[in-house]
Amino acid sequence: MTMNASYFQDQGKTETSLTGPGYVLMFILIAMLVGSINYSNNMAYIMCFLLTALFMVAFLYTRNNLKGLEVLNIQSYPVFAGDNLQFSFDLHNRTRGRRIAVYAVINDGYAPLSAEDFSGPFIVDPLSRVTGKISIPVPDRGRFNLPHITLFSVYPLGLFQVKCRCRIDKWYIVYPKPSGNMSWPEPEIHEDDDSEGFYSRGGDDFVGIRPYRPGESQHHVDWKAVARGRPMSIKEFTGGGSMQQWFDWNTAGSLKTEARISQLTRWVLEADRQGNEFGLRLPGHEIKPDLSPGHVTKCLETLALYNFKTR
Amino acid sequence: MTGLFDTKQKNQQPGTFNPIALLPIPKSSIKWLALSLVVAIGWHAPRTPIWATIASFIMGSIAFSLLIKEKSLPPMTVKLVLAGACVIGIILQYQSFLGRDQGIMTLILFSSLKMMELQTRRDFMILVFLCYFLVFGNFLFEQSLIDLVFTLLAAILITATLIRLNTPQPETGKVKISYVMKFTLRIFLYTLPFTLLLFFLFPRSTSPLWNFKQKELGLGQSGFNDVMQPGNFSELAQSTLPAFQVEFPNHDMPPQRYLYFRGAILLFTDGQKFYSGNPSSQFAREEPMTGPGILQNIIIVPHNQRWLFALDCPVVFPPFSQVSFGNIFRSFAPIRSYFQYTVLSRPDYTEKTELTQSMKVITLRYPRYLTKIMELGQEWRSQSSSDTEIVKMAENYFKSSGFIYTLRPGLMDERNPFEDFLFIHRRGFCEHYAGGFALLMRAAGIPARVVIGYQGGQYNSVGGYLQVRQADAHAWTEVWLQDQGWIRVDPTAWVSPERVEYSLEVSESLLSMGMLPGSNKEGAIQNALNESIFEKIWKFIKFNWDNINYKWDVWIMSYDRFKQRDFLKSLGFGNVKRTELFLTVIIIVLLFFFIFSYFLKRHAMRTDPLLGRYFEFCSRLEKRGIKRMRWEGPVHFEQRAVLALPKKANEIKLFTGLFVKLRYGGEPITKTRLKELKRLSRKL
Repeated sequence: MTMNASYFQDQGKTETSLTGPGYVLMFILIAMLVGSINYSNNMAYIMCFLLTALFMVAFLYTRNNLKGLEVLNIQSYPVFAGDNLQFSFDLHNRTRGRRIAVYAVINDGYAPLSAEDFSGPFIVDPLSRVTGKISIPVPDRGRFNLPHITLFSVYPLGLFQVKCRCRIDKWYIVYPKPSGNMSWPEPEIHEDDDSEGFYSRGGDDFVGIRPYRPGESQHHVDWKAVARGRPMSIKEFTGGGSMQQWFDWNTAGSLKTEARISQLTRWVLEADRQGNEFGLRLPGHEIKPDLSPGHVTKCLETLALYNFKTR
Repeated sequence: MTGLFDTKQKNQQPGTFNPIALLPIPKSSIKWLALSLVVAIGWHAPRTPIWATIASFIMGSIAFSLLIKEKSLPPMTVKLVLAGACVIGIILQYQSFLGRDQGIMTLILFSSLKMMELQTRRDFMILVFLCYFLVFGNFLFEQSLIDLVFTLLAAILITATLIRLNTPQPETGKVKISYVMKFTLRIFLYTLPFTLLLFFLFPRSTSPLWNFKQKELGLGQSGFNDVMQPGNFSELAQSTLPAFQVEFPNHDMPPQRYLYFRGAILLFTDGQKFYSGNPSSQFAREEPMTGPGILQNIIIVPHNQRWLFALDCPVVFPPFSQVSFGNIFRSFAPIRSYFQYTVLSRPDYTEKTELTQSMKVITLRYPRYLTKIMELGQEWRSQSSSDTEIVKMAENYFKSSGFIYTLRPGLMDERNPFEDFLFIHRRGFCEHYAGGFALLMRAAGIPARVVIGYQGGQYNSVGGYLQVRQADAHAWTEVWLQDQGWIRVDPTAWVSPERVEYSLEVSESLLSMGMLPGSNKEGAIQNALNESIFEKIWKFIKFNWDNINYKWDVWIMSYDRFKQRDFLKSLGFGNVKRTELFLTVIIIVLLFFFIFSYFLKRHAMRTDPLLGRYFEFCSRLEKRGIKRMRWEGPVHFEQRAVLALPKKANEIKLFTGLFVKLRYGGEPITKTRLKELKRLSRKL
């Protein structure tokens, strides 16, 4: 089990306030008190004071309903612009009291609050955790900060609400939306390139064998050796010239910036699906062809952040 | 949990955080709400016009079935038409909107209308508050112990509805009713000290914040009237409602025949009825009388009049009353709530006062068209030599002329009821006898006046008090005799001594057996007094129940400014000013609130015992100058601490090792291991 530093993080300050209906009940209580005084009706006094006491006790219950809760393990999944960003998080209750009807809200305050921002209600049993998910729509590519998750609850009576902002300081990257229907640019011929992992055409000189790396294209796997029971290995060739697939900003047509990025994204995804090796060239960035697992992510992130200004 | 309503379109302004409108409404909480509404409206049903109850029931159940089936609610036009119909109904019923009955009816109708537009949590909660208010409104009508018990139960149900609304469904299974109820009851338990504190300490006033018309209040209770007309007492005799309760703190229970509670003196008559007129202060208050005194603590049921009652004849009056002639006293303000007063009476009074000329004129006046009465009175006058003898003759007349005491005397001639009664019908209730006798005395030249009040009552042996009911209302006569003053003469007692000797019950059972005067009364009385075992059990239950109610009236219902002062005095705070009291209440309640809040918070914060040990460990190291950073995990911290404190390296390593094993290694946390952790951290 991994150690998680946020286990010991303290929760932010909770803030308790009246809800709209809470205000209404407050006015009703005042009306009841005036009525009781006017009729000097002891029964009415009892009812009025009973509800007043209920009001006070509800305040305490609601205020305590977020005590000892912390948000951990925030994970976001890759998302393309126009889709919904999925978050998962753990709500951990480190006290021995039950926390009931806790909602988590992700809303940075720039957009109106809507039902989609909510996750919950959660019941967090003592000393245990629940996993919640929130999805928020992301229209634009780029890198965004997730400043906080707001926990809130109106339990038990709905007269008060308690909320607590949990700072999480996590950012997420929205990949550009893949679109465009241009065909792939022609592969480029590189004479003296001796970088690894390119693929070649024609019967070139066999250089040797190296172990297979997971995620690599299986074009050059020495299948005969595998059939003999050996581990998967790659036959490496070298030759006078090799063909490399590059996705270049300039080959993406005369489109506008966003459309070009979308086109490039589409090519990258297609190449990845087909297991092709490719490189990406953007003004100021060059990612050499590779087949390693992080390669696609790196390309997509570069595309996402190209010319992106943080808010 | 499935939300009932689509709240997607209900977006809010950016920057506001008001999530409650967006939360879903669990479907089964609608059932709780419906039950709450049925209870809150149902308790009002007996005094609400039947059409209103039925209409609200129909509207409510339509809305309920639509909500349960998740169908769309009726459109706005339908709701507006229904609301208009309700308004018209209320106006037709009451002609106005102001007032208690109208208010309650409006709430009833509009709460079921509101059910038809139940969409958000806000609507739901407004409906819940309407339920609270309807239950509260019940106290404007009834204030008995039963009503309080009902109200408490209803308040618990309504609060449980709110809790059900806010309780999410667990992943497995449903929200249990027992869980909701247990939690509600716990919350109510916590409210108890606050409620009691506020109830006893909140400053009470004697005067209302503003005056309202009695009619608007609708408090006109059945009871006493200062006009005595043949027929109105026999109506009262059928009412079992309590009038007041009397305790005799320094005296045994006086014999039944002394239990005449004076209420009002009726001087004027037009031959058809007796009335008090305007009891102005032009008549001097009569002198105090001599004789042994009986102290009474009386708790009076609010009747919205100024009447106060006391044993004949009161001599020392409570301080807030206005005394008028004939030892009658009134409260300054109409009695709108239960309250207790103390009064001293002398039952064996002798009065040594002169009859003023004006009083003499008034108490001899009678309409001259009562010719038969005039003839009989003058006949008695001519046959006798003294006033006492005339009274004796009247007694003989009533005893020997076949008069019958009955609850159902039949209708008398409206224009001349007393002559009709005295010479033709000869069947009557107390008001006939008192009025007829007073008219005869006036005709014979003896000043006479009618006194109304209560006679008798039922002694509650459990609580040691006398319960007087409306049915004990009585009218009798006082005549002025030279050298004796005003003397009480009760002509009813001549005809039906049981009425005065025993109680109305006995005389009623005699009446129901059709006993005529002169037949075997003794046996019948014995029969009436003998109780079967069931009657005894019944009486036992009834007395105990009455006693609980009485104590309730004494301690709670009649708790007012004066009792509050006494209560504070008994706590050692004499002479507290109202403003001081008000501030004290606020301070005490706040203090209580904070203490309570502290304990509740501590309860909520009960942490993981394992983490608690770790925090303790960290704070011990912090004292030695090694502070754990917020981002620092235990292993990292251990390494740093060992470097900074090599002497204690062993303890730190052991502690952290065990902690990590328990916390992350999934090993069971046992008490011995926790103790071990404690021991290790102590060594630091």
